[in-house]
Amino acid sequence: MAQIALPSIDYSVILQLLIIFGSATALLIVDLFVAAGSKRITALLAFAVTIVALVAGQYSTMGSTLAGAVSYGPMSQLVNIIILAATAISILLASDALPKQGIERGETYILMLLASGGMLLLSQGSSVVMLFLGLELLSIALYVLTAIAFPRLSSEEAGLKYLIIGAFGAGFLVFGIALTFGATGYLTLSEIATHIPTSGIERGYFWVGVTLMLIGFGYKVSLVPFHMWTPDVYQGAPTPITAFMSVGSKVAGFVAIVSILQVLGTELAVLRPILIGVSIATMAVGSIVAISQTSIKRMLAYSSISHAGFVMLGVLSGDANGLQAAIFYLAAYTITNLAAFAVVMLLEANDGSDLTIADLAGLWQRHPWLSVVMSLSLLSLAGVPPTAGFFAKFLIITAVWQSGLAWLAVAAAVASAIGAFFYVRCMLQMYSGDSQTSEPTRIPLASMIAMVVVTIAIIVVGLAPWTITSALALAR
Amino acid sequence: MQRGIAGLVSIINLVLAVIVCMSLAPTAGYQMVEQLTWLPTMGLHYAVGVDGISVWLVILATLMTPLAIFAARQQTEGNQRAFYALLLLLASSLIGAFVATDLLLFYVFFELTLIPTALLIALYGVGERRAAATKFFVYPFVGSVFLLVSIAGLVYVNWQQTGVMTFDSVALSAAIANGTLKIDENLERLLFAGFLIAFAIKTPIWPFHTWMPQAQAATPDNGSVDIAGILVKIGAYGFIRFAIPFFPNASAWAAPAIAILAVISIIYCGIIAFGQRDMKVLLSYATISHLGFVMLGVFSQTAEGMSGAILTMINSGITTGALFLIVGILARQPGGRIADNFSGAWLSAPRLGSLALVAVFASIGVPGLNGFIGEFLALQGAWISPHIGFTFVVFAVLGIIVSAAYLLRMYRTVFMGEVSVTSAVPEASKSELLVLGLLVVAMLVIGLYPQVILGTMQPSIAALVQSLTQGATQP
Repeated sequence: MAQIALPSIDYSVILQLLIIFGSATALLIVDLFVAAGSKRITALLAFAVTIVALVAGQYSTMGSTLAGAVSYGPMSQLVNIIILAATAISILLASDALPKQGIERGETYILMLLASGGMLLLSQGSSVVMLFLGLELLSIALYVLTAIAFPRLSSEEAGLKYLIIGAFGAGFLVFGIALTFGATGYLTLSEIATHIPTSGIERGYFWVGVTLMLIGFGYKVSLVPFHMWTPDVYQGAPTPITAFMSVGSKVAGFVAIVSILQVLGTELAVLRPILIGVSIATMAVGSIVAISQTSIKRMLAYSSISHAGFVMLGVLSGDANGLQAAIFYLAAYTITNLAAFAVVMLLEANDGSDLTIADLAGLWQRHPWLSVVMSLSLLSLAGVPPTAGFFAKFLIITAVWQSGLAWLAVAAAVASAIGAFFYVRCMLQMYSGDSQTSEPTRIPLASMIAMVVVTIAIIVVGLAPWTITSALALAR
Repeated sequence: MQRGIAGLVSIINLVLAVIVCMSLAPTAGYQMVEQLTWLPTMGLHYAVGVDGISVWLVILATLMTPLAIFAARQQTEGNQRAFYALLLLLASSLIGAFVATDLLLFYVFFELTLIPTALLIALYGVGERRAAATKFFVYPFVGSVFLLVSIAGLVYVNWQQTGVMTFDSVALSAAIANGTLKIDENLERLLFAGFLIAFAIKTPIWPFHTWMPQAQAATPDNGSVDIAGILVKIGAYGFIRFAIPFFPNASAWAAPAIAILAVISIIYCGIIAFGQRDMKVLLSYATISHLGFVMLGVFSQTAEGMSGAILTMINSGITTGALFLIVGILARQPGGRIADNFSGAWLSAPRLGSLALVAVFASIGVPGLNGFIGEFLALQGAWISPHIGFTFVVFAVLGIIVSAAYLLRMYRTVFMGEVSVTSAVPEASKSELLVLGLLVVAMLVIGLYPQVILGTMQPSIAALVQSLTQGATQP
């Protein structure tokens, strides 16, 4: 029997993954010795781990290892920064919100680490197997996190819904991987790219396989028509978890979609009409349905659907400009959404009951700074200058023009115009009308730090977009 | 305290603007240009400068801010700091929009004007303030999204043809004028449509005007926000500066249609103004009616018309600003903003009455005052313009008659007649009379010697018209 030859492993390529997964496992044990009342220690350790991983990204080697299954390049470097920063901020937010609502457990932070490890794997994975592994790691951790507000029924319901729909999506992905492998005989993306069948039944298998893989990730980033779970899960999950998954799984899912689409190269043109249809439908459904929402978390859920459509616009062109615009958009969306959810989290009642848009009335009198943060994030979601969201929208529209799809830019403009309505309505609610409660909102330190960081980031990225674009230029 | 600081800052700003205006050389093109790299890969710059056209709008913006702060002197409700901060933010975004020479920078300031104004209405307004503020924000925003698409498109087409990625409006309009950039006819019309939607809503022109009276009905009674917001309607400037030089053929093609809308604006909004009892809403419709003349002048694409249009914008700022101030003074009485609640104010407040009369005459366009010169030039331009012609002018003149009807009726209701116990208006304070007096002096000066403004404007306008004829004759 021939000996199995193990591929050589360059550990410095997967440094960040090693740190996250290793520390998460170690923290599971450490957490056993942390008293129930002081789980903040676990939170701080988890936060420290993400920061260490963030720094480690600077010392990782660019390249590919594990027989081409995992790689690290300028693009994944940037995406990893976004993911880890989002994780760190979400952990900070969670460490304040969960004890307040009486649902704090040490595992929460560890599961967040594991989920972010899955996201990193999606960003660095260069083989379809790694993509599947990353998606599952991310999803399973998020199923548990969604339901972690036990015994709150809405959270259990959301967790179950997410699990069932997520399993469905994973099924599409596995089947797609199987078909793609069957058609090409390879698992690494670069090899699949050079072995796309040109004719025969294999070509059929290949296209069905790629489409199914895209559907699998379409569930994760909530593209229409795979978006149905989004509002329920966003609403039911504890708010810091919603914040985390709304940004993390979207960034990671889109990076995976980009990896798959890059395999296609010029053949992308075959799928483009479908992708265009999907992105228009996503933008339209997201922004139109959001208008009728009364719950802020549901509104933000539909807004996140609509934003997925915008990112798709950048992705579907398949060229470098579109890709850069999409990554910029994801970065801007990440900081903006974190800021919005941070405010929602601070205003929520202790029983975690849903915050409605009407509850925002008079926030300006109660808490001017919170309303400023919320306004900035809503303006950024609407794409109004001088916020990060504006530049993101601008770059996407420019990229769409450059890919020769001018009419699509008009469609994006229409969707953005519809979106502006409910963002602005929600924003002005805070400045007019009288406050429902006179209860002052106390802002704990960790949330304060998180909120200040993301708020400054919204403005800085909006005024000085080169902070991100220069990194993107390297990632071309 | 906050008011004092805000007032001081705004007056310093005004002085600086006047210094800029005095030191402007009488040549075409941007002067005092400042350019910093913003996003080099996209060809974006923070580029600002003034020329003979924009300097007057800058002066007007800096003049309106202290006036608004003055009008707000009895505003005591709500957070004072935020109020003055938002007023100053509005002023700086307006100035930014007038001096930006980079297209995207202009867009940023153009949009930025919405945020402070909407917040001012939502925070300090009266009545249906939230609905009004939402509409105020969303309506123009919807238009400007299409502007963003068109900007991206224009820059892309330029990049495709010349290989240069630039948002510099000077470079773009020069490329169009000298023929290095040739836009396909249909594409030019589509790109122009994006600019048109944004600027027509912002101007506003009928039928896109509905956001404005609603917003002004909800602003604080003292008129401070209205005065500060007079220039939010920077659409006409956008047409002169960007839409027409970039798309000379399309704008010539669309000129008759826009002229029809402008004439409808003049007459229709004049008739609506006649039906208003609320004096602020009346002034709001009067402004839209005036902006119809501005649009006629702009789209005449002649030197006379464009000078007239800009002069009318300036006049409308000064005159309507004065009228808003007067309505604010009247609104302190129990009668509020409703004209019918007043009677015989002249008897108890003769000085206020006489200043108001001059402002009303100026707004109607009585010769010798500023309104006349602007509207006359705009109409003259429309008459001699190859795109518009005298038929439009005939109808537009009807608008002047209508404006005389509604403004004089408002004046008669409030200031003439018998004074009754319930409607007696005390004389305005000395400072109020002084400020109104200064505005009236400005009306007289511009009316009698418009060369003050037209002289500075001439070189820039001449160059603009020349580049238009050049761009239009390019095959």
